[in-house]
Amino acid sequence: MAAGPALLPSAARARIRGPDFAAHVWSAPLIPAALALTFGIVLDRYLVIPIAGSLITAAILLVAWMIASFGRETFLALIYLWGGVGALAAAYHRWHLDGFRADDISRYAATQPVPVTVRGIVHGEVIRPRSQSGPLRIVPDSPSLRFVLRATALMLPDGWQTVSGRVQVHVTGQVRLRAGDEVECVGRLAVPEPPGNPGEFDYAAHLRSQGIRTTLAIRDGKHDGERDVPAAIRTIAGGLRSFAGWLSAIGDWCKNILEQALPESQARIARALLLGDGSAMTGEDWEQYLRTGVIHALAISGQHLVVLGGFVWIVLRVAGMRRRTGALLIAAFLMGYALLVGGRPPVMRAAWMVLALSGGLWLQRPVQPANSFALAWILVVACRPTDVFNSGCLLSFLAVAMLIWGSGQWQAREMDPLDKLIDESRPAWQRLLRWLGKIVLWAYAVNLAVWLAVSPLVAARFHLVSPVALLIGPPVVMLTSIALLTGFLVLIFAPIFAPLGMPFAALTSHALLGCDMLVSFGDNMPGAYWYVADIPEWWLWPFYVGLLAALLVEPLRRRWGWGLLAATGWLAVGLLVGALPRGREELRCTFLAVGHGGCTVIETPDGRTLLYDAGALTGPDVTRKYIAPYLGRRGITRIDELFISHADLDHFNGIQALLDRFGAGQVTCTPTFAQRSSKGVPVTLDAIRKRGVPVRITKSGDRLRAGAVQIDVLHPPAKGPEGKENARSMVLQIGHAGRTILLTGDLESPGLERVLSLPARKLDVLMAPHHGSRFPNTPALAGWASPKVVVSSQDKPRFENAEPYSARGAVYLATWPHGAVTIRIAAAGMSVSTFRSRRQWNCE
Amino acid sequence: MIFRSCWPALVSARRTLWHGTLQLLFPGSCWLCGQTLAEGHTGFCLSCRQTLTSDPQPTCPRCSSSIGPHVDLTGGCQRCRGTSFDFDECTRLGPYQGLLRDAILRMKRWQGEGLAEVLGALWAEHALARLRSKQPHVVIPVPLHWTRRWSRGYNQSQVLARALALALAVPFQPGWLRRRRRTGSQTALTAEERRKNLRGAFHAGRGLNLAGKTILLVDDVLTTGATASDAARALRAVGAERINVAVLAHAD
Repeated sequence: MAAGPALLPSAARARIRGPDFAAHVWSAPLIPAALALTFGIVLDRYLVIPIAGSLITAAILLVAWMIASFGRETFLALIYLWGGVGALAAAYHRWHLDGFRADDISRYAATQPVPVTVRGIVHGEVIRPRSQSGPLRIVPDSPSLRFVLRATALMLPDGWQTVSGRVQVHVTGQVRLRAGDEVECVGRLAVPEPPGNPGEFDYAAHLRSQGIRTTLAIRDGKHDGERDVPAAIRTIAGGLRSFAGWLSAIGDWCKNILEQALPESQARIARALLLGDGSAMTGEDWEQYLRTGVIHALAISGQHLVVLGGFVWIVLRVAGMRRRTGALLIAAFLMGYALLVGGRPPVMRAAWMVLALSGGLWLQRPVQPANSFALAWILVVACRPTDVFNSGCLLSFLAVAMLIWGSGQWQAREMDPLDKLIDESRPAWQRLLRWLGKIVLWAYAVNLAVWLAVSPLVAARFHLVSPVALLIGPPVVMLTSIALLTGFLVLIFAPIFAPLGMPFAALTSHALLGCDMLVSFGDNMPGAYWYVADIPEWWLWPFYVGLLAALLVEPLRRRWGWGLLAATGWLAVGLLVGALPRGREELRCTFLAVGHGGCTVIETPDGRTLLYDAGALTGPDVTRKYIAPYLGRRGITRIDELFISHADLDHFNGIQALLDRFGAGQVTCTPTFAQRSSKGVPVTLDAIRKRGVPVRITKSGDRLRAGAVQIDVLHPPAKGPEGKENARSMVLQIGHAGRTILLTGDLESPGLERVLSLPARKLDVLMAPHHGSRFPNTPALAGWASPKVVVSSQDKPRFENAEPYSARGAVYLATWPHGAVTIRIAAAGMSVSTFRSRRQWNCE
Repeated sequence: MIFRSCWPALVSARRTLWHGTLQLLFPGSCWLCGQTLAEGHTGFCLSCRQTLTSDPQPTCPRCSSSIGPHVDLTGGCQRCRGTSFDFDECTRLGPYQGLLRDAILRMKRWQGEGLAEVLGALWAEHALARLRSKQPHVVIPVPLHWTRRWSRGYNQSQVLARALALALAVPFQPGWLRRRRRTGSQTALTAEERRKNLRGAFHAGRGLNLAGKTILLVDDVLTTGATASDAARALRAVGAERINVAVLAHAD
């Protein structure tokens, strides 16, 4: 016990043990508890502490707390208590991630999907993403839905086996389903794969943080138009038997009202705004709000509860309801609303805070915003400890922390009597104008403070910085608040008598239209937003710990000027370190795992970045999902040259999005690229032209240089060869430090024969043409190239043809299952490593 | 037997748990000075409570203004002797100064309702015996005009009156008296102007008969007594027999 206080310098001890400190802790006792809890969870996330270890630590600390609290060492007792809380939180977090029951359905799943029949209950909302189409998509999106299934039984050869656990279900097709339905599904059960590329979103970890370890892919046979196929999802018991079922029925009913009352495009936003159902909006709609930094206006959060709660409160009070009764009603109403719209962390944060406020009103106790804030954090974390790392959750709490602790600074000072007298002597219109001016100024000041606080986190999580939010933020919040209120009135009045809802529907629709126009305007402004590379954690952590300290510690809070200076200094440090030239002594060539498609990133020793193809069968999302995160992770913000191997969409449909995010110095394509009669080609060429990026045509015999790296174009010639587009794929031979890499695109006959007629090579790395398909990957090619390593950019294999290469002793690496394959060539030698399977070879 | 011996300990443990949880969720602090409250206290700290409830001077039973010692109180004090009131008596919690004045001013903002609730409870607790001795049949607050109630968010007199009625266990009837006319601010007016300003501003509920009843009329501040008197007149008109006014503070 004596060791504890000895750790603190005596001066510090004297200071914090003083009466002032004690008063501070007890004025918001949940703040240190919330901090301890968070610290425990963060520690567990990074150190992976076994549950037993955390629990024993917690037990020791709590016993120490009890012993110490009998004595006079109150401060020491508190330290023990907080330590105990932290250790308990760590154990809880670990249990949430790893504590699955013995009969969890994940026991029956593996990386390779297995066909199963499973029964369970639809848990939570059924999400129906809006199908996307466009010239850059190869296969149009079929209607689909996804939901979480609480599994109850699994069909095994000897009958139904009781199982537990949640399963993330993806369904291709259209099925009528609702939360709470009991269903029987036929599909392919699998364990989600870890990410295939550096920087890629970890879907498996995301599911795991929600307590899900398995996925089920279902193709509804009826959708394919096939006959005599039993339905892949059969509802055993439906209807409104559960609370979740009722909630989703009410949600559907509200959606119908909005759709009838509003024009289609506004109804989509209204559904997201009022009911938290963003599935009707396209990815591009969301992106636009995200890019301009005003997505918070759409994501249901505190703003929504404040507007709705405030309105209902006024109505109740005008109707003469007592404050205490009103507070209870408001709490119940807003809690119900928060659950109706999906109960995600930002809205639950606000709902818990409202509950705390109402509790205070009911108990007639003064409410400490800081304590309620900590209570909300503790409750959100108790519901799901992994939300400590959830972006929406963090952003919501961060913004509110700025509002609460900053509110002392924001509040207008009381006018002194003289000013009051002067003010009263002004004409009414002047007073009104001055009042409005003050409000506008206040709104922009708050907006600026919140923006400064959340921007680093937004940049780290979404690779975006949106200065335009400083301009359009307050009006967007105002318009969405109006739309929210009037939309809510539509929901009340339209079902009673449709014409009653019409004026409100008109107001909602105009407010949303205005909001949309404002966001589009902001999106198109020069310098509205820019994409940034990864923000390193060593920069982010000190920034937010510092911000927290500045908010919590009174003497620091008073010196906010110094705080601002320190933050600016820290930003400068970050920018300087980021701008330091990175000594790349090697050529680095990474074949990204993009599924069926291709993207090879070549980083040359002189600091240039070249890309060979950027596309995938799954659509233009390839850039957002795989390519941009990888480039961000590598700290790359500009592409020097972009090679397009040929005019097949799965090799270039990500280029437009790539140009949006990264500048490009030049685009190089084959002589026949522009002649391809596919809608995607002119669209992409248009996008390239619009951004003023020069296009170069290259042909066999050309030799390009990037510092010490030499690039030879082996194919196609200026004209021909005839046949499919694949035959005219651009073949690049990259040479550095005596090593050679051959990039082949989708090369096939008769182009392949033309390349084989060139003198035979001794390659170090060969890209298996056409995603490793059987026809071009012949023994003849293997013999001609004699590669040491063969890389195939492919999805789960329908056709794999490693044999011709393995027969000659080459290492064959496909991006599925190995993940991204990185080749590093330096004077000392060459190394090959894979990202997902974590394998490595060194060649001297 | 064992159970019976354990019972008090269980009850006290439950109480400790409840208070501990409350203290953790809504740490008790004084509504006025913000100081952390000692265990078992609610609303105000000891020193604020003391200041609020100790009236430093004797008061006139008719108008509740502060009076000196040895004052002749037949027909009221010097201040009210010449004025006719339609109420019979008036009691106060204290003079309109210092902490009580701060509390009342803070109460009048729309966030002040919580403060009004606890202040009402304190008042009821402190003045219960005195108010009970008046034997009121019903407690009625001085109403605000609805426009004022909307802009302030609530009627402070109503909150105070409810607390008194609850403590006295007599009916609370805020609807029996209404303010018909929107009277302008009185702060800059003289006593005579106030009386003129208010004439006929109140009226009792329709069909109301208060014959033989003793009424406790509650307001927050009494300055000239014009408001309370006019409200009392409206109640007299429907037969009220005795009208006692209770105010938080008297502004001398």
